[in-house]
Amino acid sequence: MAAVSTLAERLARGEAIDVRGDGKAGGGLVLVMQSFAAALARESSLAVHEWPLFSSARRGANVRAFLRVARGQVEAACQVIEPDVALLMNEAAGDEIDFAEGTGERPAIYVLNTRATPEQAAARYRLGGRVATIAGDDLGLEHLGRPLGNIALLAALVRATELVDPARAREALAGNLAKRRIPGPLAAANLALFDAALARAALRDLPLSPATSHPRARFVSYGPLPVGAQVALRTSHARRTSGYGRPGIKIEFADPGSRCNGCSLCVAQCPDGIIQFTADPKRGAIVHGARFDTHCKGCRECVTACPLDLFREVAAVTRPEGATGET
Amino acid sequence: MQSTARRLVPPYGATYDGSVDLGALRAAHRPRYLERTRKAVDGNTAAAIPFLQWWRAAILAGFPITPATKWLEHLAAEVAAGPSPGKRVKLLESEHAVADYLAGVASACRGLVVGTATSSVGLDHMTESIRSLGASGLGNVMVVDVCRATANYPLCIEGDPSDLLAHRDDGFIQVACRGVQQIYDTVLQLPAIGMDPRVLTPTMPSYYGIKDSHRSGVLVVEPDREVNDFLDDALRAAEGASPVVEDFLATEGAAHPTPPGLLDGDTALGSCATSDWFQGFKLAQKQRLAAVHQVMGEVADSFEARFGRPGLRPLELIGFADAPEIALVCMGPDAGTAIHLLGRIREELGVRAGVIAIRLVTPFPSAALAAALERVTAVGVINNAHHYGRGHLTLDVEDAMAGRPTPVEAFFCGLGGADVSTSTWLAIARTTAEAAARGRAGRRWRMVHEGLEIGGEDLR
Amino acid sequence: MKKALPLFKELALRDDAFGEGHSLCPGCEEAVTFHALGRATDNGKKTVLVMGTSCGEVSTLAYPNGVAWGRGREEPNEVSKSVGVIHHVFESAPTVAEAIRDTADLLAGVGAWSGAPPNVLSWSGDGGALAIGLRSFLHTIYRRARVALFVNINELFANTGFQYSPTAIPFGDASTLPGGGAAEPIDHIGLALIAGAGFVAQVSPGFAPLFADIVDQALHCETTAVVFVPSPCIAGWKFEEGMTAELGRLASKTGLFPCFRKRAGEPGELLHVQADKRPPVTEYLARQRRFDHLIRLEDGRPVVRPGREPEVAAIQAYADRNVARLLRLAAL
Repeated sequence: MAAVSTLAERLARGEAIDVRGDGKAGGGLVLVMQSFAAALARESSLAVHEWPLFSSARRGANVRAFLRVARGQVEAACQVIEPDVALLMNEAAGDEIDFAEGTGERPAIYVLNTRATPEQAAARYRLGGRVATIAGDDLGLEHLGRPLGNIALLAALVRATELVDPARAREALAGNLAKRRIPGPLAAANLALFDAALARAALRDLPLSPATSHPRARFVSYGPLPVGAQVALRTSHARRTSGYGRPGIKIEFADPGSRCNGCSLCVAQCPDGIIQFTADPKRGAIVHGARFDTHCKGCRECVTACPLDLFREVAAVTRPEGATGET
Repeated sequence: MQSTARRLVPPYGATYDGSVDLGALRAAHRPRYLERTRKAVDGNTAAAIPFLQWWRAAILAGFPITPATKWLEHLAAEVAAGPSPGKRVKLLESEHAVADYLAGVASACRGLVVGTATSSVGLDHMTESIRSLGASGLGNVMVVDVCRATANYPLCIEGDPSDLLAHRDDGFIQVACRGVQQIYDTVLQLPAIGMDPRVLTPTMPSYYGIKDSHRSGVLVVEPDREVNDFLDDALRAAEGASPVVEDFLATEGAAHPTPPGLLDGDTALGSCATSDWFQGFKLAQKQRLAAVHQVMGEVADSFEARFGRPGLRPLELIGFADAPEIALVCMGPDAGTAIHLLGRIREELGVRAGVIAIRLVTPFPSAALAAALERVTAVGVINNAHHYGRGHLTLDVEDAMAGRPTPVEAFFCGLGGADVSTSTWLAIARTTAEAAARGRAGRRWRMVHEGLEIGGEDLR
Repeated sequence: MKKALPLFKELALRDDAFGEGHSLCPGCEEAVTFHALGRATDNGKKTVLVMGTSCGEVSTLAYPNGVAWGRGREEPNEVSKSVGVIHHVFESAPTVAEAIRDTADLLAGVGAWSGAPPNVLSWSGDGGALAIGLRSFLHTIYRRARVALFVNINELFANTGFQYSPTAIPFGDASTLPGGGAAEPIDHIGLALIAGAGFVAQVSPGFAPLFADIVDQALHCETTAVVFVPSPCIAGWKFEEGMTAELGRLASKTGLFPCFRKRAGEPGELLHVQADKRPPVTEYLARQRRFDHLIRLEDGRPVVRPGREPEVAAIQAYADRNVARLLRLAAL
């Protein structure tokens, strides 16, 4: 296991291990990083720093977090730009950025919350080194009733890195849940989820190649910047925010009987303004769809608003195994 | 129906030429001075008069604070006595509100000049707003700082530049003035600098409270027509000027470098940025501030050509005709006392002395100062504001002279408007001359009052 | 001539000044309001919007590619369709809006602006208008500035991470006040009325037709219009997806944040709330995990946790008194 001995050996040699995680705000990345940090910190010879790449993101937007562990002291405060361990908490985040950026020069460990197998994930994201996958959202649904994959990802991270004894990691998790005032039965379900994920996480050590190299885009200059950050309008339109939604679901509009009567309530209530309609000057907005694929965040306000139930939430088409991720 | 033409101004958005007809505002101006006029006025009044004269200064805003209040009162009285639809005085409930209001007027229509006058805690109360304005590109904002001792414990309403210096990095162009003519002339010239597309930085002329705000002198007031032509010509020329700094303006924006306003544009001001970008904006802001040196020279040249008086230059040099051995670097009205005493200093100390009165405070004119001090054998720096160390001005002077062994004696005097008397100046000059003779400074800093050294810190 | 469509339906057909691609949370009520304002301001007049620091600002005005404002799909050909947006500092939105109005009026007065007087709106959150911003809010109203002040009320300082806000009903969990406190909310409607606003309203976008009418009234007010927008905050209050508009409506019906409108000098009215028979506050509280320490849903029914009945009763008492008090304010 070349990757494993390298991590522990490097720690023993006095080097710092860099971990970076990417996910969606509200998708659970913070808990994973904090729990992993807490578990590492139980080893008294280790120092751990854990911190976010700060942003104003709340729900659904991309977030990134860092963790750095070393024997004795962690001094460096710079960002993790060449991670030894790269996490992908929510695959939608991986659509917008390269979560493996900065890896590929030497074997790294990749831990992904995905239904794909390690081989499929490696093909999809061009990964070489240790690849660990766990279908965390499914486990979350099974144990907690919500597609929240962070506990599962934590378990996979513990298995893949072999830096922490799983039992100690479990203790640290229990402590973290108590600190967040999670009630008893829910905490127990979280721990059961952790155990299941430990067992089910799949690991493979895969070869490196030029294709699995993810060199960092090097900063050259800020370029010409507008005075006072004054800018033209409409620059957000090209940003696809469909990745903000809960994983595994999407919203659909179906009106085969042309029953939409122009009540216009969905148009009024859609926070993203993506309802598509024909204007009828006598009746109102006659809806024929919405820009679901590019900008729907799955908020369900249209589902609630429509008196004729023309919108509904359905299971999303799962990512075809081995494909590029387009649905 | 408005006849407008949409023009894209990347990356700022679109401008709708013709939607705001500034010519109509200019036509509505009610001239206050038809001819060059001599009159006795105090410093506050001298700073207020240009705002009456500019057709662009349609809205003036304020909140009273001693010793700046007369600026607002003069404007209020004049506008009440001679109202016009193109001039309005707006009273707000606090200085913070005033600064926010200035931002609104300035961004609504970038061809307007908008300003206020304040001091000390009033300037401090505006801090978050003026720190933002400093980066905004709204060079048509002017905040007159009537320098006053800051805050409390104890409270003091008399003048020293501790407020000006506490706001060094707010992003404003800061200028120190002494005497009514400098005040008036400086206010006249600053918008031509701040609104220049190479600069786009708000301006902060300053003068000491009481010692200058409440001191009367004879002021030469220029006619409105000349005052306005001066600014209008400068802005017209600037639009075609080739930019100095290498940034967006130099590449894509030179055709119409002034960004759109809120009323005549399709645009957004005040976006947020992450750490990936913020630093780049600050670098660009520094570069615009650095462009002040070049632009100020051009504006001063134009001023001298039109009005026949010295334009705004970074330093005043007095007694430098015969390469002085010692230089006294100072600021504000007390520099005038030193200038008055120069003959006596030279005679009593038997040394060639010169006075440098700092005019441009931010961006500090390091190169000009270094050149002026090249052959000087000792420098005395006079600080009128509290500082944790050797003095704000001392650090600027040391930085300008980096690498030279010339001794620098640092002095504190005049804090909170304390009198800087003849005896104090003579003591300062004597100590500086002693440093020249010795080849090194005697102490790290000294506080002097009534000719006595009352405190200081020894060399290590 | 009677319009063919009610106003809120006609609004849907206008050119919206707010678009997609913003990073507000899925189901954020602020975004719904922004679309309503974006459409209502497509009324033949130039629009200038002043944003106070808030979730709305950081999520819709982000460099380099996150500005969601702008009417239509590209820069309009006419200035009357164009939009100016400014974000200055936290609590400055009312003052900046007043400045823009004064500037437009002065320019019009000298013939320098020949278009119709622009729509001038300001947007603030709880904090920006009623905590740190109370000074600017009240004084702009006091000076009778002809601007429309919109205030987003979600009982928290959301942008900074859901800290306690003076608009909060009692006992809601907040990061700086775990479990909430007994203090009742600040009387924002009373403050706006007494400061002298020409039009004061409170309405949640979940009442789409009323919301459209009130926005229209605000844009036509001859002095200061103040519209409070109770906005359920899914990230801060923690409720199920699809419940945003519903909870906004329930907040009115329970009497906690009733719909209200009043023009100065005329009797006002409460809407979507009854003086006596109202849904109990438990229906509202149980659906939000910020009240989980007091009450939760069991089999779809609100069940108060043992020992927490006094707090729930206190909230109910507040709702009852709030309705009575607002009825008296409406009659002033």
